[in-house]
Amino acid sequence: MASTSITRFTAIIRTTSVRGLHDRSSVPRVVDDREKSTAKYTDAGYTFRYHQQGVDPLPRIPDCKVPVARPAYKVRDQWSDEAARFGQNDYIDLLGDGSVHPAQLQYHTPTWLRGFPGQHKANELIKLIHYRNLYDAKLKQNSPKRWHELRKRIKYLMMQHNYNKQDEIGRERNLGLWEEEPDYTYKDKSRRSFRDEIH
Amino acid sequence: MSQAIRSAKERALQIVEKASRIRIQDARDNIGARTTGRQLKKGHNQMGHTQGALERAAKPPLGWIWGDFFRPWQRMYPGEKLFNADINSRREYIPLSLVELARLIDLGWINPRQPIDVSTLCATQKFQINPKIRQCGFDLTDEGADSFPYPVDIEVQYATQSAIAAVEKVGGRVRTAYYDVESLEAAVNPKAWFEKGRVVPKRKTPPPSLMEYYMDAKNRGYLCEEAEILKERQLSADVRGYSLPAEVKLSDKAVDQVFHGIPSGSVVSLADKKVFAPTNDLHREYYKNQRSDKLYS
Amino acid sequence: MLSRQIRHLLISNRALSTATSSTSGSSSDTQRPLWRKPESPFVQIPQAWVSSLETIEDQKQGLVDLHPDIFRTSPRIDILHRNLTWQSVYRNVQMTKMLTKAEMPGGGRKPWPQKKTGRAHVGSIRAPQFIRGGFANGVRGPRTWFYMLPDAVRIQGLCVALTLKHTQDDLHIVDNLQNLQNGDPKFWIDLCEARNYGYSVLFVDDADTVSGGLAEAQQALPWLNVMPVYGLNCFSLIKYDTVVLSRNALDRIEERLLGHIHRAGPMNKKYRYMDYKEKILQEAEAEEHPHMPPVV
Repeated sequence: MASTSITRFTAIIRTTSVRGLHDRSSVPRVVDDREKSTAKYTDAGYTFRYHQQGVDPLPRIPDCKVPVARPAYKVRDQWSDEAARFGQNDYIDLLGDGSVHPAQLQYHTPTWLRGFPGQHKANELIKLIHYRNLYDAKLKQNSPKRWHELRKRIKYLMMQHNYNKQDEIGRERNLGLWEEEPDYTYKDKSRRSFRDEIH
Repeated sequence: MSQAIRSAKERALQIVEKASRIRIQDARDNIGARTTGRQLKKGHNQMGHTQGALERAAKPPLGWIWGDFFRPWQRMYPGEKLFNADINSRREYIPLSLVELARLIDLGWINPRQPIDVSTLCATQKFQINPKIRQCGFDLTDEGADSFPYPVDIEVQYATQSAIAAVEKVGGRVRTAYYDVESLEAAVNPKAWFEKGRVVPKRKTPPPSLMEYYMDAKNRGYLCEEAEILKERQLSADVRGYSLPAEVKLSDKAVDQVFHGIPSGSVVSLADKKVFAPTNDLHREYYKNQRSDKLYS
Repeated sequence: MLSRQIRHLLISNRALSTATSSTSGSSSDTQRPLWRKPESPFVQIPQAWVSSLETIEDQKQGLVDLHPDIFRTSPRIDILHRNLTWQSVYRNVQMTKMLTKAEMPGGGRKPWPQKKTGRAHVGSIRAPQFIRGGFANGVRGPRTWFYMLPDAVRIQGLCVALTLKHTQDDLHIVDNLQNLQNGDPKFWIDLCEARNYGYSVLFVDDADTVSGGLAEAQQALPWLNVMPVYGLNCFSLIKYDTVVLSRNALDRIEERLLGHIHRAGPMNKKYRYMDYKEKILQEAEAEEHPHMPPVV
């Protein structure tokens, strides 16, 4: 009798202690790798050069004496006159008296592209339209072939942008080539009407 | 510097002090500054079947909610047809509250002992006025009318009654004056105007639709009689219940004058610091005549 | 225009330089008033020694206060990175132009009949699939990468570069750079060695031209260079191990940078080609051929 009560008592103790470490909380327990179900074997097949270090050598003709063509080795002098002064006057509009801007100092660029937004912003079409606007008379007069080619290219790019590509008007207005807001009352006469009232 | 209190900047500089010399190749962007969030699944962010289809295909027009493309929202519910219908043609005035004005004077951007007009306000570089897109000048609003301390002589293009009263209460003077596009352009950036060598324009008389406003003494319009304005001043003081102090009158600009002290028709040389008045009779005759602004009715 | 002037720095004879040199009494202005010094009590006022370049040994003449907004900003390496990237990229031009089908000569005739030859259906020998054909989606030069960083970023970049140089003890102030006595390269090598200037030195002066010993030395030594204040930039500040400012240059740099930091107009003013177009084209008029348009 006594012994059975003791065993029952110990059993109760054990159950409570186990209950204290229960495994049914709302926190998900990690029982396995959770990525395992989603991860697929991608390299189950035969992998060539599995333990091979380095890069594969390029295929060469055996015993060929002609040296492989490669660009000539150049020694770049970091302290040559140009390299030592690289970047000079890039901040001249801030540190100078304000009369000169770095856009004016791009002497290595063609004149019509100095200070013009780069082609990562203004695409080829905009660049060519700018060129045409500047040199249209000269082209017509003195190099009609190039004028013709330019017109063909502009027409092609116009078609490309109007029919085959996304509308980029929003970005073009942001380039600083034209006013951001078109002057509706001036250019786009179709927007105007006699009913527009001015207070 | 004590060890205890140290800003994040100082702590960062402490690291820099201990570091070796920073070279060009050490400079780099913040981690994650240039990377966009990765796409979780291929199907995401693809309104069409593929990305290419999304780029090329016809998209529904702006305002499309349901049904065919020819009935966007604004056509289905045309109730707001005339809301902002004249947005592309109406005049815009840059609001200038009395609080802002007082603050500009407090901070020393504006001298209250000098007459204030468009040029003075634009010289602070706190406002951008583009006359080409029908921004016609400043609108003096009454925010901070309770405690406006400065007796200023200000010329704006539009003013509310309470703002006028607030300025006059402390002895100031308000005039509303019209600037046509050309003269406003000159007034907004006089330096650029003079450097181009352009003639100081003559201010045109307002168009018919605005004539009424600027001839009304209630608005302190620049075209009405001084006696009427005095009467209105007294009237508004009586109505609003304040005693009228003596009015400061710092300067009197002519009706057709853009800048104080520079007659219209003259050319200004910044290099010589001289004003050249026209001598040609035809020129003088032209700038003597009053002209009406015909650009907008 | 300006940059070309500065390339050829004037060298005056040494007799002239001996007459005008003076190296004393600049220690009086150690406590100079700083314009718009920040009010915060936690801001540390950076200081630097003023020395002279007349002797090999570093003889200190006094301390000078530097403006904390410029020489003690937070070291934003990322802003510096943006500046360096911009400087190296924005001047790039690619002159390559790959011709399209339309621009290649010939190719107007159909090379062989459309059908029954067993060959591909081709309309032109300049089609892009041909060797010696035109290029589809080729490089269409002249292509530029020009853009301007916002003023705020460039100003902060300069401040960061100056701060880094000062905190790492690579920024030195001297009283004078003009008309120095000694132009011997050996002297300058010894001087840089004795003062621990590192591999390369950049001298910055307020004037457009430099004369005297420093001009001779910079002709002889490629790693020693002189720049005017307006030529200063992030790339050179970081590229050179040591930057030596003259007192005038220091004043001018602080004046310019603080003037921009506290300027009235907006800091995010956009660069617009519109605003500079007229000026740029006017300056370039001399380079234009009177009749022919430039080759694209």
